[in-house]
Amino acid sequence: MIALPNGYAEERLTWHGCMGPLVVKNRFVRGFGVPLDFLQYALRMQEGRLSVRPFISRE
Amino acid sequence: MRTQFPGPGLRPGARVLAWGFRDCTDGWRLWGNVVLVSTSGYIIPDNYNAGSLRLDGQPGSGPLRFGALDSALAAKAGSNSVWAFGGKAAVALLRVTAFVPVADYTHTLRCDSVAIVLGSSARTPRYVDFAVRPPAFAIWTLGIPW
Repeated sequence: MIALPNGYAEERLTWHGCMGPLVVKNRFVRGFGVPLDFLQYALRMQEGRLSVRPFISRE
Repeated sequence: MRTQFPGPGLRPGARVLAWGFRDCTDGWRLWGNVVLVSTSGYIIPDNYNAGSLRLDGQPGSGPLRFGALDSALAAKAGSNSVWAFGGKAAVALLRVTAFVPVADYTHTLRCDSVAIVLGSSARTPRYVDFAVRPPAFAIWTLGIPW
């Protein structure tokens, strides 16, 4: 799973960071800790831009 | 001698640090552990975690302050790849068809597009270049009753 910038129209993308968390296995996204179908619990789309919901919580 | 579990201090109202991870070979069941945090802000490891709870680059001897661990976690979280999704326009699911070493630490993934799972994009990459970094791990803290 990979993130694409706004207006992406290339054939090649350079990813700055570890690829391990982005592996999807059995429809589960390791880095986000959620099944693929529940990605909206980890990522929020607002006005065409993604924001990452923090996975460290304090209660 | 039989180890007491949970430890004697693990009672309702105790301040704890809890963490977990999902194991894909175990139905994604959540595995993890809990350690006590003293009222003075020190982490009290149980027998199982004694000696293994320390920060990278720091000696394992001596008590670990929760504040130091919290700061280290916040710094680690900022370097996690998932934070690179912030500000982007779409999330693409790709199928890797080839792994091509380019240089000592640089590799290229050749990919087929599977789907756009979030947002929208006119195109998905055919090649993804990335550099291999030293192993890193993440801790998901489940609840820090502060």
